[in-house]
Amino acid sequence: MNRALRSLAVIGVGLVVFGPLGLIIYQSFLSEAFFSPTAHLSLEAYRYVLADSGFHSAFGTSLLVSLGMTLISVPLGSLLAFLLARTDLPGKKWLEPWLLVPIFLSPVVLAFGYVVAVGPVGFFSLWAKAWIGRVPWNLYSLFGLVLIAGLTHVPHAFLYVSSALRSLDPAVEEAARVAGAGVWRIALTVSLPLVLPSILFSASLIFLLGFELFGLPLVLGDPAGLLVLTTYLYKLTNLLGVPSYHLMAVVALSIVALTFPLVYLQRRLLRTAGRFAVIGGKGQAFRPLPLGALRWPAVFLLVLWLAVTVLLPLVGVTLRSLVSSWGEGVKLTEVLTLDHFRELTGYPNLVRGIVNTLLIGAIGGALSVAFYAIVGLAAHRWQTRWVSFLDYLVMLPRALPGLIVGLAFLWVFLFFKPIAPLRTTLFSLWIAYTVVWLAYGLRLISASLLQVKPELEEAARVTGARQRLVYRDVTLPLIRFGLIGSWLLIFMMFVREYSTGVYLLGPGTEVIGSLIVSLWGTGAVDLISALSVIEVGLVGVILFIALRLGVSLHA
Amino acid sequence: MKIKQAVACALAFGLVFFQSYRTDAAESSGTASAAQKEGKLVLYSSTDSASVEPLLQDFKTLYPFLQVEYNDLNTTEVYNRFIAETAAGSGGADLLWSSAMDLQLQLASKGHALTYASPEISGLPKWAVWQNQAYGTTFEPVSIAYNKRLLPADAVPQGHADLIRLIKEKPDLFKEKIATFDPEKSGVGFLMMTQDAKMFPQFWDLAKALGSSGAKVYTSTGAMLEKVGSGEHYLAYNIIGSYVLLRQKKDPSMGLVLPKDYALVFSRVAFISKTARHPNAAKLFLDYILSKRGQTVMSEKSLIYSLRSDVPGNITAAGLTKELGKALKPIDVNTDILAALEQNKRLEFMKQWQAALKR
Amino acid sequence: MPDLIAEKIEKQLGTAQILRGVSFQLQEREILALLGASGSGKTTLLRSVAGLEQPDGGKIEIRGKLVFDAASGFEVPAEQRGLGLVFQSYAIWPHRSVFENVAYGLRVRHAPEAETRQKVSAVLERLGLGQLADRYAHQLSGGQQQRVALARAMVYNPPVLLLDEPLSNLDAKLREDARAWLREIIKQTETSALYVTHDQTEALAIADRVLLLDRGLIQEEGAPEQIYGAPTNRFSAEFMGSNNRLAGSLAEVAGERGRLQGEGWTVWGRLRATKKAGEAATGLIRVERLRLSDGPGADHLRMRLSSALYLGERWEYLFHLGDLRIRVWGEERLSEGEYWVSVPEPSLWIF
Repeated sequence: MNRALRSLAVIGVGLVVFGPLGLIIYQSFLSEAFFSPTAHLSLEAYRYVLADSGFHSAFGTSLLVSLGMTLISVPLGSLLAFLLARTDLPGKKWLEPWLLVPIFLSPVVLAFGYVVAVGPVGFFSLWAKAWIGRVPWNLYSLFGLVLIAGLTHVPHAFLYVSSALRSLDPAVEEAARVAGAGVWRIALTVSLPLVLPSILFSASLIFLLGFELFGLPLVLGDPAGLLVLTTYLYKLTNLLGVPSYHLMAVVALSIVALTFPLVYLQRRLLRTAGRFAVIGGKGQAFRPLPLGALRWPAVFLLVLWLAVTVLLPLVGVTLRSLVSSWGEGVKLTEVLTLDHFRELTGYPNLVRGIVNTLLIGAIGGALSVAFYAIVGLAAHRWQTRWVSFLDYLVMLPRALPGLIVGLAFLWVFLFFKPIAPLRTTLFSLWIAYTVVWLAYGLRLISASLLQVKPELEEAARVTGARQRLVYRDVTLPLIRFGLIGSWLLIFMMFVREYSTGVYLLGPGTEVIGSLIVSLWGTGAVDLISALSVIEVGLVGVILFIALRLGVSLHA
Repeated sequence: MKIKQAVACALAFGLVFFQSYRTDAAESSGTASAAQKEGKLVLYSSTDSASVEPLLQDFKTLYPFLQVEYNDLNTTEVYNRFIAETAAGSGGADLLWSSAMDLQLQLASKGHALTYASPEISGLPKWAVWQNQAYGTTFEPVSIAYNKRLLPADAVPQGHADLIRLIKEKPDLFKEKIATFDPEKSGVGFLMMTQDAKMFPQFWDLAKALGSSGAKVYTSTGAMLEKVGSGEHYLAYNIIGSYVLLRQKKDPSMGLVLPKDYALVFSRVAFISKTARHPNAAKLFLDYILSKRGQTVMSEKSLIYSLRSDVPGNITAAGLTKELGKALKPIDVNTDILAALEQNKRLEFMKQWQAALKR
Repeated sequence: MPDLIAEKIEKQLGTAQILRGVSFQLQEREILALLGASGSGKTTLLRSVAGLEQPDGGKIEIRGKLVFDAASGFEVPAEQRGLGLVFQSYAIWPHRSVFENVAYGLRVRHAPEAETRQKVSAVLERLGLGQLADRYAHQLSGGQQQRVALARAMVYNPPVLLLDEPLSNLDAKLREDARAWLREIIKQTETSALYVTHDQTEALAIADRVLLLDRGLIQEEGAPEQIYGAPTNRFSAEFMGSNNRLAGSLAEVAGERGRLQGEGWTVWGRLRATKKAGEAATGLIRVERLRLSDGPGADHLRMRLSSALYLGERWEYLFHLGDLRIRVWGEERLSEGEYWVSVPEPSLWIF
């Protein structure tokens, strides 16, 4: 790819990232929504937000939640990573994919599942009440929110720590064994300290994700009166009876101000993690550490986590979708029904939503992967400042919660008349999704590209092939499998997406995720549960296909 | 390839045939023929898809040539979207139909509504029409919903004062068991509370009582009804009666109380956007929901209390008047209700509300 | 006309100066070896000729045509230089068959199908790969992959063949067979070749001329026998072969000869550098030149046997004398004691 095309690709990315962000910044300095005829430059919005006690408490809550969930997920995730990557835990092979399932489930669905399962009158709560006379837990509390957020983010820590552990030279642990250390001690004093950079990286990632949580606090935090920055922003949508876009812009920027340094920190940690991780020498045959007496307790721990984090909410959601009413005093067997699913077919917008979700996942996903591939190829083996610029560029959407990116794109489509008609098409949603998942997609692509040895491309060049032919004949065919894997992963992420489409929701842009958020507002829980089951089903099918094809879920 | 071509031909033929069939069934009135040319209608409404389905079906049998795009949004979304799109010049909505009367009136008073004298005006009460721009379309009581299974009969409040008394007398029973609208996040909720404050001298006592019982606030009727149905809450305060009726169809243990001391009456307000792309189609729809036929469907099938006095049945203005008489306090469709919306007043109310609700 | 002319090639990477001004010419049908330790710059030099690296200074001409000139910024990209390059890792495309790998160069040149087929088959035949045309990289042994890489580089008759340590990934046993075969094949095609290696035996065996590189500069240039038998500087002398080093001082200088002296020993050798009497000096002698002797004589030293290692093909003895530690090769087991070691004067180079 010649310089002109490469630069063009980078500029293209710059446009889709800076466009919306620039609009947000501009809006934050206005006195009203940017399209109001009386809007003028002012710092009113900043003054209001920064002085609002609601903002302060939302900020504090976000901080607490992020901290709490990091403290829960990182140790647990690291422990599970050690158990699965370095020991002879029984049932490893089929347990591992389940560990990654929470990543692919929509948080709204999960949260909703928890409400139905262990809420004040959830299925399990009522059984507990029947047993011991009262419900021993309170889902609608800061602790409940933090616990669930922590448990559902264990896979993130697991992913990074386990791939680092896998590249450790087993001799390191065997030396400790020979010297007399037991498995637990080896984990704590040898293996895990060696992958400290990966642990720190996943900690910073999860801390960052904490600020971007939307679905969980929306469903679980609201009844407890808990607001985090994202739900505080959502509430602002109609605070003064008029769209308070200027206030929302300020809150959005405050989130960015918090998350951007975190993303930056992460990148540096990732680089050190990369350096650290490849320690293994030649011939690393995997020799697992024996767990001995700790075997079954370890399995129990794993299964327990699985049960609480995955099975509980899924069972909750599925049950809810099959009953006509529930709660205290309702006999389960009397109310089973498939009516909710039948009802779905009577709602054209919901049916459209399901179809759109498939479309945007399959076709949109493929187009996004193509876009990421083009950008990835542009940056491939190109040593210029453009590439580091691209790196920073890509960090920006990473720092924005999906909710805000969707909002920003809504404004972009409202603001720029020529592209306005596209707002009501799936295109507007697709471009928002592509930007939100830019960093993730590029990382997937570059992981594939890095596996192509430079000599294979150089050989083609020397035999006379121009750069374009080199890509066509050598690079792309060699990353073919990586591209398909990326497509499947992006497909799943797009299906699971919920917050980005919230502000762009309208006829023509419905997708399951944002429909659930919107329906949550109207309380049509029957429909939500049926939709959720469908979404989980879709994700499950794609996940199954991906695993069958051997796609590595580690990204 | 041959098969594909054959299928394409068949489809094309079928479409053409279908089109001509539809044209045949068209009516010949002026608005209707203009609407036919428009072919489409875009609605922004806060009425649930569930409730509106029978109306849309019936409307379709009347005007099959109209493709109706129904956007089910909550009241503030209706308002926000409309404002944003109009200002950006990319207006989408033809007709807005929302239970947030104050927000609707605000839009109308700002000049967004098309002046149109519907032929159905003669069948409507005077207070329901504002300057031939904004129209009240329903007559719905603001009621209390409760869980029949779990709330003992002697604990069911029969009115507002009754509710205050019951909360004071049975604090343990009602602890965290009451749900109500969040006036901060919900336009409808705000309107109801501010009207309550106007009508009910002990309103702030009620608010404090709600606060002391740890009442939870929500932005949607559906969420509240779900929690009452499951028993998470025993009682929901200020629910639009029509929704409870709908719910009762599915859940026989859902109870409805029309408060006897006074009952606010809501009217969902509709207006046609001045910048509507399909104004004639919008006119047809407005006429329809104001017509006897439409209002009958509304009452019998959608279970929405209808406004016209000539509609048979109990889920009607006539039926309610028989039951509650003077206790009914309809909220007039005019700009008086905008007073509470004024920024300072609103912030003032919200501050008081927050203070009262603190436990 | 030389096939390849490189003038004053300079290249810097970060703070390290990889090439400091290297100039050489490659004649028609000549095999020129670029020999050096890792970090000497030899691979960088090769890649610069190929166009895969851009030097900071210098000029490169292929068959009289300028392909690179740092001063004017002129550069012909790698894909247009028409050279053939055999990579150290072979770089066989795993997603293409052997046939397609080799044919790629012709396809890119839009050669007609029939011609491509014929040329590819011919070169595969010649390299003994005829039966493997439809195989894929993972089905080939290391040696076979290496031949495929060579075939790919040769099939479009490049003016110069570039080979980057083509034998270093082969097992030691295979390497010995391969180097004879490789030289033969290259000579058959009558193409000139630039051959990079760190293995001096390989360089001596394969090349017509050897360029010895160290830290970005040419240390020695010449025919193999010349470089091995008559090095002009200490670095080249030490680099080639197995050597013994005798450190001491020059007691006497007599024209071309000098007497080297150390703690309890003294020998005569040939001066290879300008030195004065009294200066410190180092004597270098190839291990194979030393012999056990029956008795005393000129250039004989009486040394004590310190240890003897059996290497299979020979014995290696370690002798001590004063501060001298000398390795000598021989054929039989020796018992402890003192022996006479012959240090022939012409073979002892004094630097």
